[in-house]
Amino acid sequence: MSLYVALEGVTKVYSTGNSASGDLMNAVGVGALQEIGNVGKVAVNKVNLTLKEGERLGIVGHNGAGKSTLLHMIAGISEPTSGQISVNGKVTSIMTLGVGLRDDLSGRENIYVDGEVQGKSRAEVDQVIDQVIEFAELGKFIDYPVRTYSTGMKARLAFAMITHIEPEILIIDEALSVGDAAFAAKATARILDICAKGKIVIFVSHGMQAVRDICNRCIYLKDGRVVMDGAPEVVTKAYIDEVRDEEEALLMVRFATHVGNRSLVSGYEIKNLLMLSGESRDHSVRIEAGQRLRIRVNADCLPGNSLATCRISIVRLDDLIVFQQEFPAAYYFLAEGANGLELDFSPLPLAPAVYRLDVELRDHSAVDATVCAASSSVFEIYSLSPPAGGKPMLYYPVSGRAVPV
Amino acid sequence: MNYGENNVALRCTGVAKTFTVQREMRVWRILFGAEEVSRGPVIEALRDISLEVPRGKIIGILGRNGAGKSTLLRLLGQVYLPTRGSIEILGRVAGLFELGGLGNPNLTGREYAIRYLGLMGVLASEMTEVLEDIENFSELGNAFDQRIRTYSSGMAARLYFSVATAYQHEIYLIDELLSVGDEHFQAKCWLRMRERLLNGASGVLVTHDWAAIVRLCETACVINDGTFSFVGSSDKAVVSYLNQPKPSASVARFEAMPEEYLACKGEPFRLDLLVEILEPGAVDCTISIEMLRIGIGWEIVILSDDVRVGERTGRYSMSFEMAALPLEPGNYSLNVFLVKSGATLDCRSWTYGNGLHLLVEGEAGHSAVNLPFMARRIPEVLE
Repeated sequence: MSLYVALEGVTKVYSTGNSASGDLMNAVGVGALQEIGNVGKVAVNKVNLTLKEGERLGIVGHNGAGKSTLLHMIAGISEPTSGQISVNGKVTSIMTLGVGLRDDLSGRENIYVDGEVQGKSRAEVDQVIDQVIEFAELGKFIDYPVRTYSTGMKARLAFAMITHIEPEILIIDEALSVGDAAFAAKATARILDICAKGKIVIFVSHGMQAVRDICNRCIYLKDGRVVMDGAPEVVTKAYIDEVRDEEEALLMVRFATHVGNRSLVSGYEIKNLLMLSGESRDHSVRIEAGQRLRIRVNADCLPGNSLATCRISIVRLDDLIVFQQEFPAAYYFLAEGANGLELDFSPLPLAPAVYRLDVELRDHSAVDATVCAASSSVFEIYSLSPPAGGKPMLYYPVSGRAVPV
Repeated sequence: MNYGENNVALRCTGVAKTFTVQREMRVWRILFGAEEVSRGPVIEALRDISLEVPRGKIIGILGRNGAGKSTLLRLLGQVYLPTRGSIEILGRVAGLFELGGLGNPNLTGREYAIRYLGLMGVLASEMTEVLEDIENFSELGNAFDQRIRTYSSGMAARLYFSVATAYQHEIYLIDELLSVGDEHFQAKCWLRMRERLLNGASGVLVTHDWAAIVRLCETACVINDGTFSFVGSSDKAVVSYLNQPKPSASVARFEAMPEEYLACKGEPFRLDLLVEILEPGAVDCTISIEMLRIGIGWEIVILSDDVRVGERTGRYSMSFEMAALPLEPGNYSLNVFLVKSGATLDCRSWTYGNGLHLLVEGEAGHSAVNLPFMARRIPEVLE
């Protein structure tokens, strides 16, 4: 019979108690009155899903959308509150690394025990054990009890064990970052390799590119429901588009303390601060890397103060100032026909990150400048295709060419 | 290292730690006197570790999985006793490792914070303020009043970091901690650690993330197989830790080039290189300009794409150009690499210990980089 995974009306509800004592009270029956109205968190809500052999399913969605809960139920780690899950095939999951290791046995013995659990004969394990040991890079520790291992070493062993059995239904939860960088790279390559062989693969990731590379079907999970099911290119794009608007709103909420406008000296006020991405005429706080950015400032200043300036700074969220310039206020805000200042970065070479835009009206009449009005806003630069070789601070074009000599 | 008696926060002298691997049922064998001493193999987790942490500095410890990093941190945090040698700790220690160890996952975030702060001796009068700080910093929102067991691992890590650093301690023992949460949260963690350092905290940071070491530590040690294989400035420690074999120059190589380069802020920049391809096959070249300020920051500022040098053997003249150098005056590290289908061939890079230097001249501005822009007056009401 062919492999399949079928979910029918699967729902999972977690109780959300608020304190340890509350739970205890409940357990002894005293707390029943307090818990009225506390229905718990619905992590997965009536999910129907059928996977056939050859399908490689990607699951995308926000944190807390129920991705991991769903995976846990398919893997049999937790039970649905209601609904049916039927699975035909052996499920191997890469998310709970190291859970099955027996502490008192050596690494080598663990590989045999695990092989038996997976239904392999000793001879079958003998065939792969050298590869597993080589992959895990544990050296002499392979013959020491697992309890002498560091966390990273346990993870390596578990990963090596899992990936060397031929999986039928493979579940991968993002945790591909096992051990140090060198091992992580090896682990990722190994997973891609398995995906090519895996008969059914379920893959959860925040990396849209990884989903597109690995999967041939994709669902979008939102608040525990499947809101979209289709080709990875289509679903991931819909997800990105939807996320963008939400992220913009979220950004403003999250960095609310960095956003504000105040006038400290009467007669000075920043009236309007706009960020225009590309050729857009609308204010936007999410800007694609390498696009043009225009910043427009309108302000009121006291007439006659020729020593006032408008200082514009762009500060990365770790307080690194990436841009700071002062402009004479009189020229931009007071002179005949002056209607404000436009700063044009075309293109803006900043790399993806969250930045704060600070605009200050400063009076230089005294030795130390006084800040007369200040306004701050937060914006994020994103990129859909970051460079592979590293994370530079700037995306500044470097042209290169070679000529034979 | 000698920092004078009053300036030392933490000192290890000749520390060693060995573990004896016990066979199963040891407790029963001891109880019934079945054997006097159970002799399993002995693991020498650490040997000959001597280390002084001066006040106000963080010493970095770099090592791969299983090199003994966590054992060392546990010794310093007095979780283990050393087998040999002595450890002196001259200040109040906050361990930022194995966090959550004292919490039971049924506690809410707030309850955990109160328990931790109580243990650390935070006064009841200060408690409200510190708790509020933790609640804000951790960005947990409503989850702060829910059980830790309902948290994702990222949320738990945010809670633990926020709690452990909410209060100024004298000595921090940190294990990989600055890799918590997303990039925005990490930026916040960095700021907070810097602030604690400026207020005179000392510490030990144990990690395999060498970039963190360069950004936070002036001095670092490389731990290899239980002992320090290198102690010195953190950039040299990175070179020693990465221990990258110098790539072979037999397929393609750079011809001799000067080590020092001079450029001007905002001016056109051009770098010329001579490359020789010795074996047929496509070879690419890429360059990066990096800001390397030990103990303050390391960052790649500019990274070029891979540029094809050629496919056939022979000599090639390479040039890289930028219209206006977007760098502020100062010293930079210039790195050039030859690459063949993903593998590095010949290179000059500080991580290999043979980097080039770029000195940028010009009038210093107020920012870290020099972004090209145009300013104009908005004439009338815009359309």
